[in-house]
Amino acid sequence: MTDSSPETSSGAALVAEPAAEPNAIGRGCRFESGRGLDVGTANLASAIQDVDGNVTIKIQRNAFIDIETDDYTRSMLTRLNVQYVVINGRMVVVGDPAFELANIFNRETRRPMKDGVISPNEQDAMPIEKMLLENLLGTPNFPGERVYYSVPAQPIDADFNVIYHQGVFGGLLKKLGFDPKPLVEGHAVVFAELAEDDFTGIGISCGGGMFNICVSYKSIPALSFSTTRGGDWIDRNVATVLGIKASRATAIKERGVDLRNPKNREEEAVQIYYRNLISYTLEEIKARFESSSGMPAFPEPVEIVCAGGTSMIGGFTEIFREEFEAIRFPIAVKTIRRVDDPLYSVSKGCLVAALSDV
Amino acid sequence: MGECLDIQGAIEKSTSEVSLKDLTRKGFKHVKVLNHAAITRLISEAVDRVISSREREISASERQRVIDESRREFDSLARSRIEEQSRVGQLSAENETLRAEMEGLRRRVDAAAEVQAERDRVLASEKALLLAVEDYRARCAEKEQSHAALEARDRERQHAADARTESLNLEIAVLRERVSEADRSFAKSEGQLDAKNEEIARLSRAAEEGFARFAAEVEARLSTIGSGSGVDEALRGSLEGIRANIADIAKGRVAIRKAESFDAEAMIKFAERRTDETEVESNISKVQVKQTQAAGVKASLARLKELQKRSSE
Repeated sequence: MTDSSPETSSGAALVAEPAAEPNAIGRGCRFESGRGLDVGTANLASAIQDVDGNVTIKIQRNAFIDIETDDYTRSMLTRLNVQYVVINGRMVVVGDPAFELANIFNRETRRPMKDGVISPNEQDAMPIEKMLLENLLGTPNFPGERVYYSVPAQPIDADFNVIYHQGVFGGLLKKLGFDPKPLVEGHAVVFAELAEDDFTGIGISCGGGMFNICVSYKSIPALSFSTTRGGDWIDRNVATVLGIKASRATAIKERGVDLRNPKNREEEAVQIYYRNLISYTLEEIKARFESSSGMPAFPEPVEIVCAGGTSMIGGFTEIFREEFEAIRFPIAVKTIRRVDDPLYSVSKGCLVAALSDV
Repeated sequence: MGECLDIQGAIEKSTSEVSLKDLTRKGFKHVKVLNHAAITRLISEAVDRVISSREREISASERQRVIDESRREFDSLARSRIEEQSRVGQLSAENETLRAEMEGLRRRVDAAAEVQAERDRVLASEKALLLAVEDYRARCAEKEQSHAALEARDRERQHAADARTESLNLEIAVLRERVSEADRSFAKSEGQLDAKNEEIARLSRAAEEGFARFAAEVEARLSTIGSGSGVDEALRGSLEGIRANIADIAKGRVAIRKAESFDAEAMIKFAERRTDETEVESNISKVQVKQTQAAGVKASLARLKELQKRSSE
């Protein structure tokens, strides 16, 4: 902590948000020192808390699409509140509008991240990610302000490590003047959602690229791992069977499907792959639990909490419970629930970690 | 007699009919019955008495006339009575006939009612059967729809599985190609590594031979240097220093080590350096990002701090 960050009575550092940028959060407000950042395959989200305990979330879809460059388009995009970047002479539209444009033009969005980590196929990703992070976090309130950012746990169904991804985002955040600390996604869900149970239970972040699982005992992660199927896997498969683009499949999935009552062929395809994804994930979790010698023996049944954008579809919890009932889960579970703010849970968990670590 | 006295009519008009049950209810346990013949007789006696009292006042002819008239009246009444009895008998016979007919009709009505009831039962049964048929038809249609939906779903699943299989086969082919490529690269690298190792060994041997030659030369020089003069001593010291240096160099030769398999810290540092410094034109900072208020984390934070405090104690 520096001299520019006075402390509150609770020991947390206080800072005043600089109000020079259009994206500054609550101009003139006083904020606690420390931020949370969810680095997701589908979305990037930041969380910050003011002195009154209000939490502000800023969120961006982690996608882009390149379009023809000209002065008129530039001007129009700014007027329409659409973010763009010009890289190597190509104009790239960023965030939600990229997704909308992809659907209108029947194209695929380009994704800076794939399967939960930085995509090696997207050479333009780095400068865009840097700008998106800068836009979400702004400048630090003092040099070296702590930011906890989410990283995936080591996958159990794929042979790649996440160290490089962790380093890339750590480096970007350092460049922005923050003191970055990685936090595995599942653990962030535990921090945000399992306070009532003394941070004991199973947190699952159901993301676009991965499902991240953390078994925690009194806030200490006993076991963390990930599986490399998520919302994008559903989109790809639905797109394949329906003969459409994955972006279109995403739009179908996000327009309010209820998995318990699919209304047409497209929704049935979504339901089939959702059920398959949940079943696959539960089987993988079960296999991992059964093969792990470091599993804690919980004295009482624990809660499973699901967060993340992929858990937001109607009927997710019910299908999850049905598939859960179909297997012999090795841990006694008392309840399975979806959190209230699935999209913000990881960033809030990172914020809790940051605020407790000043 | 100018007018005939209608005794029966008079009695009918002057009396009312009361059932035995009503009389019993009213407390009459015994009644005196006066039949029609007795009344007629009483009236006739009364008339006779009146006539007898007035007999002295009327003439014999008139009396005869009254007797004749009375006889005629009597005959008439007797005939009427006979006719009436005959009529009653006839009516009774007709009545019996009608009763028999009615009984026959009642039986037919009963039979018709039974037939009607049977018909109703059959109709109800038919209706139930129709409903059941309709229900079976609806269920059949539903089953057909479900079957069609299941078939469609199966087809889609099969399609998905086929597509997935195809995709996986493609991935496998690509991966196999990559493995082959990696094998080729590895073989090539191994070949290069062998060549390098040979080169290193050759250089190492050459260096060792050089060192040996140089050491032998130093030893030879040392053996030729006499002792006593200051110059010789200085030269000997220098040569001995060179010999020691050669020995140190020989001892300090670095063995060729295998590379570390994975160094996470090094990887993180490497990755952190990969922050693209490309300057790009953008309007990102000018555009408002989606921003929202979320439920607070105060309670979670307080709980976590309390847990951390408990743990540290």
